[in-house]
Amino acid sequence: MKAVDIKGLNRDFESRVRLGIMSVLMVNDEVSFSDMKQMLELSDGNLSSHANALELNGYIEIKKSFAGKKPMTVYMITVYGRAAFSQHIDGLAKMISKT
Amino acid sequence: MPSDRNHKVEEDINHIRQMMERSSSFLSLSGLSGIAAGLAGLLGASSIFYILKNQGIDYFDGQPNMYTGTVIGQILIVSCLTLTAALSLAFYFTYRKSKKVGQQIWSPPARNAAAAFGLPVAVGGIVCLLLLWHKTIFLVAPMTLIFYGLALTGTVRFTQKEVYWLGLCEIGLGISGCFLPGYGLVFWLLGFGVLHIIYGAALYRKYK
Repeated sequence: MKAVDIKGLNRDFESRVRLGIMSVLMVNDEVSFSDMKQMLELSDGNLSSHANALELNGYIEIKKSFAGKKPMTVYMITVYGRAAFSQHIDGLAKMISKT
Repeated sequence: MPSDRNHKVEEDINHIRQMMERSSSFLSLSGLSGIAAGLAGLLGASSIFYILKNQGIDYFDGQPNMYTGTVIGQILIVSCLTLTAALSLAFYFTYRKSKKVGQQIWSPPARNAAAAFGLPVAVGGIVCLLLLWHKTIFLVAPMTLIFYGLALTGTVRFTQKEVYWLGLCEIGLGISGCFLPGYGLVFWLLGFGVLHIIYGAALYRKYK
C-alpha cells in the first residue's frame, strides 16, 4: 500500500448520499426533508436512513415538528459536523494535490 | 490502484461543489428570458405611444397632459399585457434551461430568489397604485423602474451576479426619469426594453 494520507478522510462521509447531504447543509441553514430529497434526487427511505446515520454520529441535527397535521422534518448541520466535513474536504483536496 | 482512487476523489469533490452550488443558487436564468422580456417591453411601450397618438396626444410636446380615464385604462391594460407576456416568456426560457441543466425550477434557491424579488415588486406595485390614485402619473414609470431595480439587486445572493448590474442600471434610469417628467415612457422603453435585451444577450453569450 502506498502511504496515502488518509488522516483527513472520514469514513462516515464515504457514500455519495452523505456527501450530498453534508454539502447542501454546509451552505444552507435549514433544509426540509422534501427539498433535500428533491435536490439530491433520493428516495424517502434512502434519505432518511443516511440522515439518521449522520445524526447518530452528531454531524447533523434533525428537527421534527408539525405544520398543521403534516409532519415536517428539517435538517441542520451541527458545529461538529461542519468542522468534520471541512476536514474531510481538506483531506480530499490534499489527495488530489499529491498526484 | 491509485489512479482509481484519485478518480473517485475527484468525483467526490465535484459532487460536493455541485451540490453546494446547486442548493444555494439558482443558475438557470436564461439570457433568452431577458431578450424576450425586452422585446415584450419594447412592444408594450410602442403600443402606448400608439394609443396616445390615437388620442391626438403628442408625447413629446412637453405639455403636461392630463389624460382621460379611458386612456389611463388602456395604458393599464397594455401594461398588464406587457407584464404578463414578459413574465411568461421569461419563465418559459428559464424553465427550458433548467430542464437542460437538470436543475429543479422550484428549488429552495429559486424560492429564495423569488421571495427576495417579490417584496420590492409588491411594494412598488402598491406605491404605483397610490401614485395613480393621487394622479401623479408622471412618477409611475420611473417608480416601476426603481422598484424593479431594487428587486433585481436583492436577488443577487441567489443567482447570477449580472442581475445586480442590471438592477443598478434600472435604478439609475428610474431616478434620472424622476428629473425629467414627461419622458417616463422613454425611460421605460430604455429600462424594460433596451436594458433587458443587452443584459439577455450578455448573459446568453456568457452562459449559453
